[in-house]
Amino acid sequence: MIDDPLVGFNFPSLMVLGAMTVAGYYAGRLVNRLRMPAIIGYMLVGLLIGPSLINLLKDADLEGLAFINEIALGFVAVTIGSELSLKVIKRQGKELLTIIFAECLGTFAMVLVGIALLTTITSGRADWPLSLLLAAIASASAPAGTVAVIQEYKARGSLTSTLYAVVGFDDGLAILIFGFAYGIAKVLLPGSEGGTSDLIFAPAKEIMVSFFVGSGLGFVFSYMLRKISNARDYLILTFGFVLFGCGISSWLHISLILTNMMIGFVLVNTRHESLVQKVSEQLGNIMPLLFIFFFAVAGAHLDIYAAGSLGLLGLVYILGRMAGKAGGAWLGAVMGGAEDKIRKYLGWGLHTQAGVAIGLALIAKGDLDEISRRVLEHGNVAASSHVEWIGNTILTTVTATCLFFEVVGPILAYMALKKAGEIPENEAEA
Amino acid sequence: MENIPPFLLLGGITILGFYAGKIIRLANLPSIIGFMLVGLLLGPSFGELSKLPFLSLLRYDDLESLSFLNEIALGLVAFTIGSELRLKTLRAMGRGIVAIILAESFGAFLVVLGAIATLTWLTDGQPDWPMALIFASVAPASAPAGTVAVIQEYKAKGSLTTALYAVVGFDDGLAIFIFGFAAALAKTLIVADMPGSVEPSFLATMWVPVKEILSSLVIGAVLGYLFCFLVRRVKHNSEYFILVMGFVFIALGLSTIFHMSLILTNLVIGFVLVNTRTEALVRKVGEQMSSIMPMTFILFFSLAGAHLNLKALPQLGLVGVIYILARSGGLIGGSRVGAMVGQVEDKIKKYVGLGILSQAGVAIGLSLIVASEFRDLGAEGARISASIITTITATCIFFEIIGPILTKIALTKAGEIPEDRL
Repeated sequence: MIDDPLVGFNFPSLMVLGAMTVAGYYAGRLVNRLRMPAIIGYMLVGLLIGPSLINLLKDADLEGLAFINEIALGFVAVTIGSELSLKVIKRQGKELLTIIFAECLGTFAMVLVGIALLTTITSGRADWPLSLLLAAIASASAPAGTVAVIQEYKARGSLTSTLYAVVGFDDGLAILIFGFAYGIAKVLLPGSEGGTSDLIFAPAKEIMVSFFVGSGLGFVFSYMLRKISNARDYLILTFGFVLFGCGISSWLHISLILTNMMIGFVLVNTRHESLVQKVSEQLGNIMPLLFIFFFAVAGAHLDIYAAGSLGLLGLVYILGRMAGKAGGAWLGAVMGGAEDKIRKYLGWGLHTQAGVAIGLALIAKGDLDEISRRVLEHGNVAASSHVEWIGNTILTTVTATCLFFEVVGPILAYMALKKAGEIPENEAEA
Repeated sequence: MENIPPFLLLGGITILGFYAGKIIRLANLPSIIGFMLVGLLLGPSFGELSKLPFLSLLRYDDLESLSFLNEIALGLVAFTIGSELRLKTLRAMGRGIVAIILAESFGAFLVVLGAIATLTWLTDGQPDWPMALIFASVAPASAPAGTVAVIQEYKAKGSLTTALYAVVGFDDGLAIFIFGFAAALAKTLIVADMPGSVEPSFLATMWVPVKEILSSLVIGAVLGYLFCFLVRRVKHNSEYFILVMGFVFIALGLSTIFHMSLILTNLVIGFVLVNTRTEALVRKVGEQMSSIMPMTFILFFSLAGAHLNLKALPQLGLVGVIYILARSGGLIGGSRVGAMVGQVEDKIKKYVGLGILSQAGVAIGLSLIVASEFRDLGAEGARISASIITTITATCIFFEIIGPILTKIALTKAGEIPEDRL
């Protein structure tokens, strides 16, 4: 009969996906026994079957599965948005804003200074382009890890809602910082063209368009939801709008996280609580499965050999980023007058870093390679190879440190929530 | 123009399909007809025919890259069917069900065989047996998704509903068997006419479908027991869903690798579950499933609608019309005879035949297999392979739309749809 099982979609990989789901589920329960969040187990399974180790999920499969990441991130973002009621934002608005700015800029500053100092010591001269780019990437966080931990342990309380707001909105600020720092770094590099205005304007536009499109979708969504009677229909419309939000963000090159977050945000602030409750109940049914897919695939993406190239630079990046996030969040909380447990524990919940950062590093590397080629055409061999080196260094450093942050981040977030007393007793024991 | 990202399309289709389903229900038709219409409008063939190419948002390559969604949906449908088949109920009407499945499948086969043979006899002066055999071999294949979608949409309950689940589920096995048998026979007939060729061993060819069915049953059972063992210790409701998806994926992958029936394999998993675990647990799994099935159906049927190739319709021809009439007559008449022999309730006897006319992807798949096998068997083989693909593609448009509508009518007349769902 049909002898080629590889026609169209790669089916054996569907089987691997199934096995990954079942294995991930049990690995999650196993690591729960060790008092760690289940997503660590999902990532371990992905790491195990991924290209780094037994290679059941090959690089090509991972590329084909990239859509799962986007869908999952879309759902995560809607979830975040639907936790952000205007009431909370009005009450805590100044506080939240201060925290977000402090932790993003704090991280940026710490890593900038750290890398600049390190390069001064090792090569006698601060490498500002490298420091700027790494510092900008450092401020990006990965909301999925934090949200997965919150949902797994059914955490509730002021720290939880602050975490939602911070990991959600700091994506916007991270885009701005990256655009800004990138613009300056490019000016500092030899052979760059064009001014900086475009590079600052472009990310600002990206954020504005995301907010605008997301709110538009959100209003249509919540208008449509009003007329629905059947619980299953909520899932259909939510799913439809998340897919739409993901698709439109990649089409218009806007932030997937901000766009989908706005959908949830508009929903929660225009409809009754009981309706929002019904939507999140339906989401609660499929989120656990999505988290298994998402984190197992993320685990498979982790390049374990990259850990070897971590080096001193990576260590400085890790320490600088952690100090910046924790210190910045603390400073922001103090300045914004946040309550005690937020001051103490918020910083611990913000360390995850994953796909978004690697994406930014890839953008940087692509552009730097381009610049390096252009410089070479002008005959400046030394400068060209230096630019190329910066691109490679950024990518390997971010890839290697993500390995660390993606594992340590959720564990720290779990510990923060637990110490703050926001995890119900029975869930902590599970 | 830049390529539209598939998500945007899928998201748009989900929302449009949802509302098309609501609108079509105002006309007393099952929502899946609305889903299919949305897919049809946005699919590749409508835009081309209507000279409105901007409508064709879903292109052939999109459909191909999304075909995994169809397989997943069919897997979930088969699992659902299996989990509705309680041995206790089946035993009560067991003989009747077996008789119906045998009679409707062979009925469709024989009536189509006779009709096409007569038609070719009238037009060409002598019956074209290989061609009649090939058309007849595809006729018993049914499309369980349409029937199941209608049952679930209207929350139908009762003996006819159970009979429908059992018939559309298990007749996939018999259809594979009949297809394998008839295709092998047709091949032998054609090759025997060709000078100087070696006749393939008929028994060896027959072994293929038997192996396919047996391995589906065995692997499905093994997966089913494993699933039941694991599902016992689950704590949260959402975790049932995780395990179901995991096992359905594994079964789909294995079915492709080992050339098994994905419907039978997944059906057996559900079957083992429902017959070895407590009702409370089965209900919890069922609840989780029923919350995602409506969405699965929207995606499945809108993609199916986009696959419908309207350009095949003008080529329907006399063969197509005869095929449609003969297949419908064979299935309805056959299940009536089976129901009489098996002595089932009156309402099942009257209406089960109406409920099983859907035919879709599986039949098109079979016709593609035939086409690829017969293309190189001389002029006769080439003619048959061209004719089967266009005819089945065209008749599927008819069966895929009329099938679910008739299922709904059958369930309504049998009184198995609760008042408030109508």
